[in-house]
Amino acid sequence: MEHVHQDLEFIRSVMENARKRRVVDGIHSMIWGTVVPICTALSFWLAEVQHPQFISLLWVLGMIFGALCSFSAGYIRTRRWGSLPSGAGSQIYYSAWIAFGIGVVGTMVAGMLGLLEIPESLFMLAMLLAVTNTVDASFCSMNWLYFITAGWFVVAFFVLLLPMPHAAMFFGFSTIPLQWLPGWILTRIYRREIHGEI
Amino acid sequence: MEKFDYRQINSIFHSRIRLAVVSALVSGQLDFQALRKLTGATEGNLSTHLRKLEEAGFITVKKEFLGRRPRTSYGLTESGFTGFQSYVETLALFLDAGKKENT
Repeated sequence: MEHVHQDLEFIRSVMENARKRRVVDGIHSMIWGTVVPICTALSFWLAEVQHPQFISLLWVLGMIFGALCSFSAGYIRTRRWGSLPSGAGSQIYYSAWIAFGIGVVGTMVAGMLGLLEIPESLFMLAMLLAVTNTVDASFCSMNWLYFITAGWFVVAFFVLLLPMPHAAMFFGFSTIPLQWLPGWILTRIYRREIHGEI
Repeated sequence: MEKFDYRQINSIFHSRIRLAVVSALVSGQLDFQALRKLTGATEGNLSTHLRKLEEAGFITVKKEFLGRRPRTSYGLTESGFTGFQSYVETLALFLDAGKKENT
């Protein structure tokens, strides 16, 4: 009798562990959906108070901060629940995020040195984020909410076509519905899955 | 209470590792490394149990290359799912019958 009870408990715990390894949170999207609008708002404030020379520096610091937060969140999750279901998939996933981080810093430095115009920088930044999110969605979870986050690419294209301050502002704040909101929904689903029992 | 018939239990689930593998695969496909982490088994031991499950027709094996690295992923077959379901149901029935007998 005790043996049967142990077997059922064992099955439940293995099933729960397997399920918890599968669910992916939206914390990365939430981080970028918070950092980018704040940087956008601060950029316009700096332009308003006649200190535009600090805008590029602000974006470099903002992107490094976002990348560090994103990396820390991924690291904590991996330590807690183990790696993602597919070993190869998780390698590509982390490589994509590292490539994104390098690309962001590179783009911002190019912007600081005057090698890239603001719309071009934003376009490159958005393209990097869109590619990373799509890789993330393909290898970690086929959740359609993840693909919404790639919509940033479309908004960035709009900025490239209309290189105006207000288009840049629209681009910055578009991350709230395109990054923060789907990320928040994914995180809520993730928490429910993690704390729920089979 | 009906006598518990041990023959109702599929012998494939007598091993904890095989039981863990099938339980883990219920929610979807997993690769070898993920299964190794979940079961805590050594590579050789896990391979042996996976082969037995494959021979029993409980799991499917998919081998592919990602770049130069081979990747083997496992999934549950229809009969594997049915077998696991009936195993759990049998255990639950046995537990239920035992409880009734005690009260």
